[in-house]
Amino acid sequence: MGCKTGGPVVAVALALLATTAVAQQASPPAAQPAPAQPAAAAPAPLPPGSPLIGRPDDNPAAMKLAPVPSPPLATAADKVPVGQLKAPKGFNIELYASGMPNARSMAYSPKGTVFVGSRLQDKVYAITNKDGKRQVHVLVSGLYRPNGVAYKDGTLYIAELSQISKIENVDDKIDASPKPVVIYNDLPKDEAHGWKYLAIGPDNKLYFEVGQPGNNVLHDKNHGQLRRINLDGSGAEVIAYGIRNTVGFDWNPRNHELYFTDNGRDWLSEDWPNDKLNRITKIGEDFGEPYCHQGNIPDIDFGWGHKCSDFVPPVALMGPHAAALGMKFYTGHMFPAEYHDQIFVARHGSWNRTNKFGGDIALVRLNRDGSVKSVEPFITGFLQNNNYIGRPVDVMNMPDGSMLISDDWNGAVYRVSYGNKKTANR
Amino acid sequence: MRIRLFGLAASVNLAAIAFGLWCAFLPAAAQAPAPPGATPPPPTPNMPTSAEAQKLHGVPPPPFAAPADKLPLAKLKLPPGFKVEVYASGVTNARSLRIGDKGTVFVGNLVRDKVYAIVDRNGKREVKVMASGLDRPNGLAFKNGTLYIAEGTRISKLENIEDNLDNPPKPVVIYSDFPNHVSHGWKFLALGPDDRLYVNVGAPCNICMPPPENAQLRSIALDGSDAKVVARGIRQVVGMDFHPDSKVLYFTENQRDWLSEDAPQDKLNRLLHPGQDNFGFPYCDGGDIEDPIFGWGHSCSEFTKPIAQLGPHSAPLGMRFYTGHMFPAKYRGAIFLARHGSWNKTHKIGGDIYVVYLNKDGTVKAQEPFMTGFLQNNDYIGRPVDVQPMKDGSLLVSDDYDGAVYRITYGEGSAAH
Repeated sequence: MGCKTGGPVVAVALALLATTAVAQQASPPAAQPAPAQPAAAAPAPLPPGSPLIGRPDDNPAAMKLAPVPSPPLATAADKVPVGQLKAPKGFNIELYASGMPNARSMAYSPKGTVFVGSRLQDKVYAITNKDGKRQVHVLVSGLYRPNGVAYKDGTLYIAELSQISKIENVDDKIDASPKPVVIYNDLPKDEAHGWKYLAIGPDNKLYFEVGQPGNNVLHDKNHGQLRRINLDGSGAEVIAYGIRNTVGFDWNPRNHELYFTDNGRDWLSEDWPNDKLNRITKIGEDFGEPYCHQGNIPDIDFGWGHKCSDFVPPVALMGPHAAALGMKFYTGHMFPAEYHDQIFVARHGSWNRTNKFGGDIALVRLNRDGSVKSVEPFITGFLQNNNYIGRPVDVMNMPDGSMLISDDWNGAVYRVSYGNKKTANR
Repeated sequence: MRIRLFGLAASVNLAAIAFGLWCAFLPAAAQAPAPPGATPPPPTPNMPTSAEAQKLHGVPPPPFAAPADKLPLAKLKLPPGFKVEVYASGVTNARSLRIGDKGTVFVGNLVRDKVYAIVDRNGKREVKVMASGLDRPNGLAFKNGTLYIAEGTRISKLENIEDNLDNPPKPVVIYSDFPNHVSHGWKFLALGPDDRLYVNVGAPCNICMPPPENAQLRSIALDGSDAKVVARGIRQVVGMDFHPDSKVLYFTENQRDWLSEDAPQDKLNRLLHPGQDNFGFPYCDGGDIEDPIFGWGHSCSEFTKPIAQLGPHSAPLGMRFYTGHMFPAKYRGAIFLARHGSWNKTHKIGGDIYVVYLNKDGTVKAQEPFMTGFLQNNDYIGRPVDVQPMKDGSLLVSDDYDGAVYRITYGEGSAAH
C-alpha cells in the first residue's frame, strides 16, 4: 500500500521556490546583536551567522562551495530514489511515507503515528497508520523552524527556533489543527544553528541544544550548550558546554549515558575538522568548541592559548563536514544481534568540501565500556557522483524492530527492515 | 679579524643590537636582516586577532654570543653513555656546519654577516672569520678544498680555503639567479652524490601562492651552471642530506604558522622522483591538512606525502645521516636532526636533537628525542640549528641562540682531547 500525500502540504512548498543557500539563514524575527566574526572578507556584508562568512573570496574552488539547498517540493512517491539506496545483505529499504517537504526529526506515538518536524517549512507532519493504511497529515502550521519533536504519554513536544511547546492528547487531534502551548521560551533567536533537536531522557526531562550563533564564533553563556527542562518547562539547566551544533542525541540503553553528534566548523580545510560523536559522563563538561576541534586541533582563530587537553575529547570522529545529525541506539530485535545497542547516525552529507562526504546512515559499533570500536557506512546511496539524490536527517526505532529514516531532500521517510521482505503494514 | 675563543664576539655594533630589538617584534619568519631590494614579507592573511595569539612572536637570539662559562651545558640531557662538551663558543648566531677535508669546522650565519672557521691546531681551537659583509650566509657546502656559501641571493665559493685560513680569499660568486625576499630567503646548501649543489628557494611568505621561482629545491653544477628544479611545493627547507646507501635526498620542511597551536606538523620528506615530486605548498599543510586559504579544490593525496611528521611548529632544521662508528650500532644509518623549537605555539615544543630511525626501504621506523634541555620552562636557553658528524664519529651541534658549537661523544675517554 502506497502512501498518500496530504493535500495541503504541497501548496505551501511553493513558498520555498526562492529558497537559496543563503536564504536558509534568513533574518530571524528578532535578531540578536551580531556576534564578533573573524575576518569576514566578502565585499558585500553577509548577514550575521551566514555560513559564507570566512569563505576565502579569491579562491575559485572555495567560491563554488555553499550550503546545498533542498528542492522546494517534496518528491512524488514514485520518484523517490529508494531503489538507489544500498543496505547490507539481508536488509530491505522501502518508502514509508512521502510528500512531507523538508522532513526532519521524528517522534513516535504508541498509537502508531509518526510525527515529523521540519526546518525550512513551518509544519509538523503526522504519518498515521490505520489498519495498514498510512496517511500524511499536516498536524500544525505556522511554526518557526519546528525541527525538534518528542513524544511522551500522549503529549507531543515541539522545539522551534526559540520556543518549546506541547500538544496534549495529540493522538486525538491529528486533523483538528491543535494549537501548541508554549512551555519554555528563554532562548536566543539566532538563525545560525538556532533550530533544535529535542529528546526526552531517561530522567523524563526534555533535552535540547542551543547552538553557537555562527560558523565559528565566540558567544555569550547562553549559546553553545545542551540544556534540559522538566516536561512543564520548569527547572532549566545547562548540562554540557562547548558544543557548536548538535542535531542528534540519544541515551545508551545500558547505562543511560548521553551521546550526541556535534557538527564541526566550516572553512578550516577540505578534510578538517571531523564532525564528532561525544559522550557526557558528568554534568557540566566542556566539549571544546570553538577553541578546539575534533579533540586535537586548536582553532585557527580562537585556539591560541588553549589546549585541547582542557576539553572532553570526542568518542568518535564522524568525517569532515559530514553533518552527522540524528542518531539512535538500536534497541529493536529485528536486526541481527550484532546491531543491538549499537548507534545509527544519519550523516546529512557535506557542503564545505569539493568532494562530498556523507549522505548515508553510519553504524557506530561500541565496546562494552561505551567507547567506540568502529564507524562504518550502513546505508549508502544518497550521494551519487558528488550530487545528492537524498539527504538523511534522523533515524528512529519502530516497535517491530525496523528503523525509519527521514530525508529532507525528498520530503520522505524510509523504513529499513531485516529478513524476508516484510510490509510495513502490520 | 680574529675572535678569541671564550671571548665576546667582535664587531658587535649598534646596528646589530638595534636589529636584535627589531626582531623581537617580528615573527620568526622575518628573523633575518632585510637586505637592500628584498621583498618584505606580505601580511599574513587572516592573522588571528585574539589576545593569546598576539602574545606569540618570533624568539630573537640575544645580540651577543654567550661566554663559554655561561653556556647551559649542564642542562643538556643525553641517553646514558653520551657526553656533551663545548666545542667552540663566541660563534655569534652559529648556524649551518660543514667540515673541511683537513678537519676545519665551518659555521654559517643567518642574522649576522659572517662565515666562521673553527680551527683546531694541536687541540687548541680558535674561531676565525672566513668572510664578512655577507647577506644571510646560512648555507655551507664543502668539496675538494672549496667552501661554498649560500647567501640570500647568491652562491659563492672560497677555493683552497683550508690552506688559507689566516688569509682567506674573497668569495667568488658562482650563481645568483635567486629571487630576493625577506621571508625564508636564507638557504641551506648540500653537496649531492652527483657532485652538484642542492639549495632551497623558500616561499617568500608564511602562506601565499608563491611565484614560480620560489618554494622549490634546485640543483646546480659546482661551477654555477646547469641549474635545475628538482622538487616543488616546498615552503622552507633548512636541512637536507643524502641517504648513504640509496643516495636519495631527505629534507626537513617547516610548515606554515597561524593555522593552529597544534597544526600543521613540520615534515621530513624524501625525494624519490627528482624533478617530479611536489610536496604540496601552499595547498596541503603538514601532509594532511588542505590549507584554509589555498587548499580548497585540492586534496593532500595529490602531493608527495612526508615520511614523518616532526611536531607542530617544531622547526626541524639541519639534519644528517649518521654513518660513524663511535655511537652504538642502532644509530648507524639513522638521521639526526636539530629541532630549533617553536615560536607559534603557547606551549613551546622542540629545542632538541631528534633521532629518526629508518627501515631498510628508507621509510621511517621510529623517532625520538636524543638531546634535550634547550627548552626550559617554556623558555629557550639555547636553540639547535645544525648537526654535523665528525670523522671520529662524534656529533657537532650548532646553537644560534648562544653562539656555540657543542660536541657529543659516546663511551669512555670520549672527551675531545
